[in-house]
Amino acid sequence: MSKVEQRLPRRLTTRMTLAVVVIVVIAGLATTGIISEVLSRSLRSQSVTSGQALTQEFGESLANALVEGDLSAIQEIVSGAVEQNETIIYAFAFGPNTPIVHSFDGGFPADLMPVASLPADESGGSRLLETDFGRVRDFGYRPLDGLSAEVHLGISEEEIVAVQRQVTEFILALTVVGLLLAAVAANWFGRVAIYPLSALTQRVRGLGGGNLEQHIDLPPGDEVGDLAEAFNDMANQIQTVIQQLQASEAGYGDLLTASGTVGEGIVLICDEGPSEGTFLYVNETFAQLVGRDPEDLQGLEVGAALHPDSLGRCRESWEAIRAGAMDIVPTSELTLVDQTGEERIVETAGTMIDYQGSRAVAWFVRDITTRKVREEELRRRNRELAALNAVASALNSPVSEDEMLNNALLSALSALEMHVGWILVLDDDGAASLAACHGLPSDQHAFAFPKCACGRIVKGGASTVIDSAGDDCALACLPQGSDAPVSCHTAVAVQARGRVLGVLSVASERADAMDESDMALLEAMGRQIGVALENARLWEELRSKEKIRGELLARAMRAQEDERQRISRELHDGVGQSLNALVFGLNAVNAALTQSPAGAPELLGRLSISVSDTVKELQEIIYDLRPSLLDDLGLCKAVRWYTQERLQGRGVQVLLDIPEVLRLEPDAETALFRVTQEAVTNIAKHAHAGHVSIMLRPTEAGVHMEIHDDGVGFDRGSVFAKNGGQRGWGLLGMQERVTLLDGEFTIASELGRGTLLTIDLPLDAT
Amino acid sequence: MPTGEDAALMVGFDDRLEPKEDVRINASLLAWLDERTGLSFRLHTPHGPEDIAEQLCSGEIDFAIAGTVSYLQANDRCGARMLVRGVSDDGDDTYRAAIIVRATKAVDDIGDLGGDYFAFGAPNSTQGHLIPRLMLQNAGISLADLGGTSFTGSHAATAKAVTSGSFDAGAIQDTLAVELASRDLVRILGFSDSFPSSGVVVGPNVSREVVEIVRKALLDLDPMGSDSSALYHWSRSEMPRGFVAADDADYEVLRTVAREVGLLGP
Repeated sequence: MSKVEQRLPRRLTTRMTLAVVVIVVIAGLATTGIISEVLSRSLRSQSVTSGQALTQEFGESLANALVEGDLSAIQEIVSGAVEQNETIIYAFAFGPNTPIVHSFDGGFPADLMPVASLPADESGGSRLLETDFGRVRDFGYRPLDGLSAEVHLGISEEEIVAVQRQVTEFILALTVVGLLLAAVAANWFGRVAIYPLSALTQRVRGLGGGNLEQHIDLPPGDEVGDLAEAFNDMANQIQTVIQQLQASEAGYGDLLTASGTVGEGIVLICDEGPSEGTFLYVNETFAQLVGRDPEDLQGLEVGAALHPDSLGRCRESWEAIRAGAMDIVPTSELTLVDQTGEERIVETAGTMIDYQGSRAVAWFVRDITTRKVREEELRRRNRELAALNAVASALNSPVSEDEMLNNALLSALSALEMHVGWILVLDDDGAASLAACHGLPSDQHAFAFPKCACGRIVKGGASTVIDSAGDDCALACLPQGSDAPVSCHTAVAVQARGRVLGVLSVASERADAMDESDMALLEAMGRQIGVALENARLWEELRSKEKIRGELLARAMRAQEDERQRISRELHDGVGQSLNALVFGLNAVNAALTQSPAGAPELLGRLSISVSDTVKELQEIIYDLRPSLLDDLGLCKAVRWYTQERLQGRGVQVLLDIPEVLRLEPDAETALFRVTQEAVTNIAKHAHAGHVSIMLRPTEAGVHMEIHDDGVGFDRGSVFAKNGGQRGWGLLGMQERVTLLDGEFTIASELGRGTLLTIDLPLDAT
Repeated sequence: MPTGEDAALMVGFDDRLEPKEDVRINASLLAWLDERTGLSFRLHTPHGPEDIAEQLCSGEIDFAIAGTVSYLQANDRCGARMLVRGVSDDGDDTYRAAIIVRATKAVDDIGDLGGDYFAFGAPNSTQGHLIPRLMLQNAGISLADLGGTSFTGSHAATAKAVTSGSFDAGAIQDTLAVELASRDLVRILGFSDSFPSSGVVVGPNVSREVVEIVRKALLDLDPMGSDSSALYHWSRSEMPRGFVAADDADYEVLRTVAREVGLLGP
């Protein structure tokens, strides 16, 4: 509060009165001063104007007399001017031919002329003089330009001063009267204006005392009425807020209860004093989480309910809550331990509150154990999927089989976070070979699979974990003496469609490296590798077949060309020569008919025999190309004719068991005839057989055919060597013909025991 | 050549209008001459019984703005010369006098004024005395034929004396007579012939060089144009359109008349 404020009266009414008095005094003085000054200036201006006019008129009246030097006329005019106007104190004039003529009774003042005389360059003017007659304004005028003539009038200004004084006194009097009236009015108005405030003050004191029911009844429409109404509204608002607070407080109680009902644990922990860090309040839900009664927990240290690993995070969370004051601190995960040692993972959030006059931490706890388990399961599944995906990527890459298996092994080890592993594959005979290896000495592999401990289990398609590697285990080759020897060995079968193709083994120095989920993952990898391995082999087989098929096609084309050459050669050497001979014979007949007609019949007879031989040659050629029997009489007659032609002439006994009336589709009959033709050719060329049986039976699926001989037999491996043998192409050609018709072709042959060919053609081929 | 205040050239003038009006008109011309010639002129106001001719001849004044009679008297006495003469409103360098009667007086000819009271202007006035004497003489009227005569001192006083009925007739300058007649205040019985007008007379003691400077300046005066703002009520003077050169021979007729009526010496 400023010093001025301290010196002011405390009562508002007195202040208002004082303010009005000050304002009126200042306004009155200012008005007086301004009016006095304005009036003074106006009067002086008016006086000067009238004085100049009067002096000019005075000079004009004197001009002629001054020119003529008429002193009596001048004296008369000068004296008359003073006598006729009482404000004119004096008058005087002089001209070029006249002395100063004046109105002074006691002689012309010697000091007047120096101050009243006009400057040479002015035709008129005025000077304010302080004289024995008071304040006088001297007005001078030159009535005659070019001549030294002047007239002067001295006009008193005392009247102006008197008028100014009168006006000032009058205004001051008015100011005093106005001041008294204003003071009285201000006091009265202040009392009237303050009355509602006084009433309002009393009512507000009532409100301050807690009497919210009491209303202030003042007429609205003015400021105080509006203020009273605002106070009433405020009282109503306060009343409403109090009711809302009461309801809110009750609601908070319900909220705590409801929170506990829906599984929200709520804890209040003392944050000051000797009880700092102890439970002040615990709801039923939290008590259940730690397996105690709420009453038992009150007063206990918070650490009694926490896992030792969570104590540090709990302190950090607590400090964060303190630092954040009243704001809610982000959640923190802690582990609770009940009396039985069971752990519960909880999510907590907290804030600072005032509880029963003490500072406390409100701690909200939610059990997230189930959620964490699910999250862990989800993470595991994601890891498995990632691992399987990595293995799949490795298996799908366009590389060799060995490289593919090596990449798959590395992916599996990476997913399992291991660094030792290998893959063994089994051939058709069940022998194992190392396909991929990592973490083992490259030149010290000693695999006893499948005779080792794990091999005996895995070869049946099962999985196994062996804690300690035996002497027959590949791990035995690892250098010993390290801090953590690799001893935990896990093996799973690499299998596809139920068939074990190999084994996938991993190893770790940790005895618990493989849990149940890891085992499942490793088995899935084994199956994945098995499928990929089988696919690779099938692909290789398909590629081999495609290669053989291509070579067969080339061979067929060469055979076709050879057949054309043979037909051409036989037509040229056989039929062609016969026809040439026939031409020569006909020429001879022609000559004989002209020269020796008797010999013509003999020539014609030889020509007839020659033509018959030519026709026979042509028929043989045609039969070799495709026996017409196959088309005309069917497969049975054709086979019978061919075997008679090829085998019976060599002393081979042929037993045919083919239905006479059976007719098949032309493609099927052709395929079976050609297979029979190739088999008969092979028997004739290589088998040295004594007996051959050919059997053909219709089945539910189609037809079944067997060609069996008791010849010398052969070694399939040598015949179907990869580089292809001369003899193998015939067998492959037979197999290809049957395969093209979706049939199955098998060969069973052993040295010294003959050969059995089996052909099965499906129904739709018949 | 006078250049300072003490060597100021004194200039007198004939009374024509009110004294203060005459002073202001002539003073404005002298101020113009001060500026134009670089010389210093001072207006001389009469303060005794001396007339203009006497002042010129005594050297009291050097120049005079005077009428024909004053010129003739000074020329007659000491050889003062008419330097320039004035040009009237209608561009004429001569002027006339008129004889007027009251508007209600039943007289149509100057010759019928016998027995009437007649008012002249100033005794030395050319239009108010000298020329009217010639007009009365030409009409066969002598001063003795009149009922009485008096000098009013100025044309205005003469006009006032006639219109007020104090006198039956009077002689004034022709321009004033025409103006009064146009208002039916008087009737004009006749105009005189034209005679050289008033002008500026130079005394015998002024040097030729100064005379020529002043003559040239006065001939250059353009009161209707560029010099109008420097002059006071110049239209009321007898030379409203300035000056032309004057010659003593132009005044021979009036000299004779003046001598005959006794205004000049024998």
